[in-house]
Amino acid sequence: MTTITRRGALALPMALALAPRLSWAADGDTINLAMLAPLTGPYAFTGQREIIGWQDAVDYANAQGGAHGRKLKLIALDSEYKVDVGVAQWKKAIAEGPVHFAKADSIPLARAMAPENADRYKMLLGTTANGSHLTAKDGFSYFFIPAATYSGLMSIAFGQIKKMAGNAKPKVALVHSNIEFGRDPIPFAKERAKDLGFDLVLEDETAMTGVDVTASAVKLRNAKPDFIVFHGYAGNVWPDILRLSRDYGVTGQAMGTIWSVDPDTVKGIGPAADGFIGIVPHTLQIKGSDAPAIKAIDGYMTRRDPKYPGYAGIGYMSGWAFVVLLREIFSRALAAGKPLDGPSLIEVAAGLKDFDTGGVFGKPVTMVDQNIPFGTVYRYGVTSAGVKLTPIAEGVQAS
Amino acid sequence: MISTIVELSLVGIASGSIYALGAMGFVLIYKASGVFNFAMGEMMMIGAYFLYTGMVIFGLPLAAALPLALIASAATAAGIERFLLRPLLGQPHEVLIKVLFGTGAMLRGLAGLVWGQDIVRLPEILPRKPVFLGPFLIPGTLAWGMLAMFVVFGGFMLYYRFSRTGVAIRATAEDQSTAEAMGIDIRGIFSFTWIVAGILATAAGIVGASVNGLSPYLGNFALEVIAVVLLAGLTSIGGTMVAGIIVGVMLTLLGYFLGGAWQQFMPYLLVLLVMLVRPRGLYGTKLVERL
Amino acid sequence: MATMAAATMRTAGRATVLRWAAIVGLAALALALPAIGNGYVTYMACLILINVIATIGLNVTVGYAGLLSIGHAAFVGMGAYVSALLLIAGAPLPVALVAAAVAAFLFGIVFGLPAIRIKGVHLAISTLAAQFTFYFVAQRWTAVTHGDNGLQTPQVSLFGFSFDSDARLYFLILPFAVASCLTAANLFRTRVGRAFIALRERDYAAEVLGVNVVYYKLLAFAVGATYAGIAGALLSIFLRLVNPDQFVVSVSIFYLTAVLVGGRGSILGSILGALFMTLLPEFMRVVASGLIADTSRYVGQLATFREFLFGALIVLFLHLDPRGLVGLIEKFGGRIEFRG
Repeated sequence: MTTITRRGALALPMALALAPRLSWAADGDTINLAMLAPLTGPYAFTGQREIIGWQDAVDYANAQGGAHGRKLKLIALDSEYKVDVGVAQWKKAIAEGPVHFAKADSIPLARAMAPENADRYKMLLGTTANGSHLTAKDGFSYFFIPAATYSGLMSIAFGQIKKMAGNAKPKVALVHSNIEFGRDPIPFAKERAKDLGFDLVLEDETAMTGVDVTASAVKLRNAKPDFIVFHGYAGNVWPDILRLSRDYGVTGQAMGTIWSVDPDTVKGIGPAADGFIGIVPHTLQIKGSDAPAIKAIDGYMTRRDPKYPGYAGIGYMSGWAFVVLLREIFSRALAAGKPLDGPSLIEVAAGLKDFDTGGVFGKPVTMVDQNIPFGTVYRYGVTSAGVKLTPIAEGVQAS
Repeated sequence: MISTIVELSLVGIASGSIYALGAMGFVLIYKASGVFNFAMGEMMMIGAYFLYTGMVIFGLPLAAALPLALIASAATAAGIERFLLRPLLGQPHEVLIKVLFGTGAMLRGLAGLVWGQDIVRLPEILPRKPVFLGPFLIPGTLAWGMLAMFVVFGGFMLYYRFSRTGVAIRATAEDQSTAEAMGIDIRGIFSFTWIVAGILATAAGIVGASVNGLSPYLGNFALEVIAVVLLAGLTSIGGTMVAGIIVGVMLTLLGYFLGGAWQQFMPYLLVLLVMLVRPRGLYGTKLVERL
Repeated sequence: MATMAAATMRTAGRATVLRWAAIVGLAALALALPAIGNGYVTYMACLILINVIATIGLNVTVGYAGLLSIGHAAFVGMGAYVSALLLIAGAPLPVALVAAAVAAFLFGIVFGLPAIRIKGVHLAISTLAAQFTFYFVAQRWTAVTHGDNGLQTPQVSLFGFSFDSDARLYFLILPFAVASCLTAANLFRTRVGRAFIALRERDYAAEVLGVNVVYYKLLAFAVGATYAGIAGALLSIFLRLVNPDQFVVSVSIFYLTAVLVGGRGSILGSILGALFMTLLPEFMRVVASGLIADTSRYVGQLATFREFLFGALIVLFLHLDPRGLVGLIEKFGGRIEFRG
């Protein structure tokens, strides 16, 4: 009976390790896109929205004929926002069939994937963590970011401040989280503030979650900034800093970048956020646009909820941005008869110039340094009824 | 400078009272049954979602939704005690802790399935209008949260000191077998303390969610509450108030002068130092060990 | 009474045989694994082995000596950072590994100090201080740790043999995992191991019987941390990346869950616990894809459901047998014996 028991003890790991292969290995003709996103854990909020964007965009791309006649196939994997789990999921996808592209969800995960990918797999990679140093010269050979980097977005925010302040010397407060992506563009921002002659009255690094943020609001009150830039949050902490600082009588113009400024998050702040300015890489206003991809998005949104508020979220649009660029990159590589590996695909990507994304980006895109260095500036009109987005400037160049 | 410190301290006292509210539930359960409830954060989260369900999904007024939420969370807490914990009474505490960790994961998953992963906002329950204390300004939610906290705390302390049930809980905490011999239904007491803890957790969860937004991961802030509990010494309900205020003031001052990164570990360093001097915390009772 | 004792002895005897049989069986499977499995299987196997080493370490502290710790990830992190820094500086692999173990040993003594005065849940929480302090230093001391960016570990080699693939790394990690199992199993035949168990059972009594409680408590932490340090060094070599976010509270909880679900004070339990914790998410993915034909549309909900199931399984296992998976397997084996 010991044998039986031992077999019992061994059967479990065996069965798990040699678990059945999933289905995409069978249809070898598809372009397989692996997306690693946090579907559980504190960042699931973003990951769950991203995945819907990817699904819709792949569906749309395939309805348009796929990439040079080949269908795109989405493989969604839960990274739990952990490096070891993320790498494991990536390798699983590789083991189960050809993977033509993989998307990392954090800078650490990108770091963990980069050396092995450069040595062995040589596939095209992308990331939603728009780190400022994810280029070939930093060892990220086959990466691209379908958006501006965090530093790039920060430069757009500062350009907007410059424009609004005119000749006055604006007092700027920088409020950011203490995790890796919250701290990424801060050295750049400080440097830039100095160059532009801003008076950086406050740099406040806060926790990513916290019960009480009054200290930050008090700091803002004492600093009396003309402009407050929030960076590096997902959906919490900063809304309460803003609300509280308004209670304290802080009147400065509030601004924020990418993941922090999902319209739903800003809506949650209520009228205290009225006039908020968000710097985002992609188009968020869906209703009322004539651009073909945006009209298609309107269709998907309406099907899901006929009374949707007319805008899309940041995570959702990042899925579209990826797919619309990937489709083009793969189409061009296939048309030119190039192999679908990292070296040739990143070369194709680098050659993207004035490519029309059907409205997903604010203007035709040109790849520079493995990213798309421009963004769109929205003003958020917030009432108790909801949020209304008005573009202030679309396709603003990062610098 | 001095006035900033005074002002921040006032704010810290207010926010510390919220920690104390969450901590009371911990202490109550620990006192009565010796179980350290690692699912407390998730009980706070679920309680806040119950209120959200009543007010936002069903559109009930606060006066109807709050009692319903409290009843639902009391029932949840009682269910956890009765079905997940009681069968394991007598097992080493690390097993019970792990079961409660597991329970926490179940509640998080359940909340994600029922209410989704989005960060939602509770309707504003407490007035936002700031309160002026002389020259100092306290944010409205904090000030009213503190007031609500003192009412709950005071009411509970009176009940705990003078009611028959309160006496029975204290007797059970003192010595389970003697209490049982004296005719106290100790199982009933266990259930009761969990129900009360569920209600206290809901109150803390609602206040926490109105500051932090509500998502299945709201319970993570329980880590700060745990620091308060240990600083107080696990067995003193009045002590949690003092410890809550200490931690609240400390976090606010740290946040102001040093920034967010310091807030995470300083409370625990303080707890560590205090425990090295007083191993049972500031107000904990010393356990006499016999061979 | 006598029958009970006999039954206990029989169970204990069979359990030992069972344990060894399982270890031998696993070892045989282990040797062949990179040959029969694909890249993913090899990768997971490496990860599991590293987790086994770390879990065994925590089991020494928690399972044998009875000192509850929620700061184990900090010890793993210590080993990872020390080995990464040395490897980057050009130190040979053995030096890096030994240094990682020594550093973690010392770190374990420092953060084991509260154990002299504090017990149980209080102790567990005081180990959280180690956890948060470690994270803070790793994130802030950028001159050495490179802060959030972390350290990129170079590829390692030994006597000219380059560990440049998961399969090769696997054969670097495997001997350490086996050695960890063997040393931990033998530790409890020594004076030190028996002293640990005496601590767990009743530390006052142990003191009365002449066990130097302070010394052995510190040693229990330090020995557990040493295993963690080696696991951390291997992790830094394997992932080629060390950053603060890899060593947070949830990782400590991961190891503690592995110990408690696997089985306190059992080497087989540590292996099963590490297996369970590493593979459960995978297992649930497979189950889910069996239940729903088109999983892609529900991938978000399934991920959430997994979290629920994960908690439910922990609760279920501990309810079925509070000793954990080891206890379950012994029960299962026992039932077969009676029927046979």
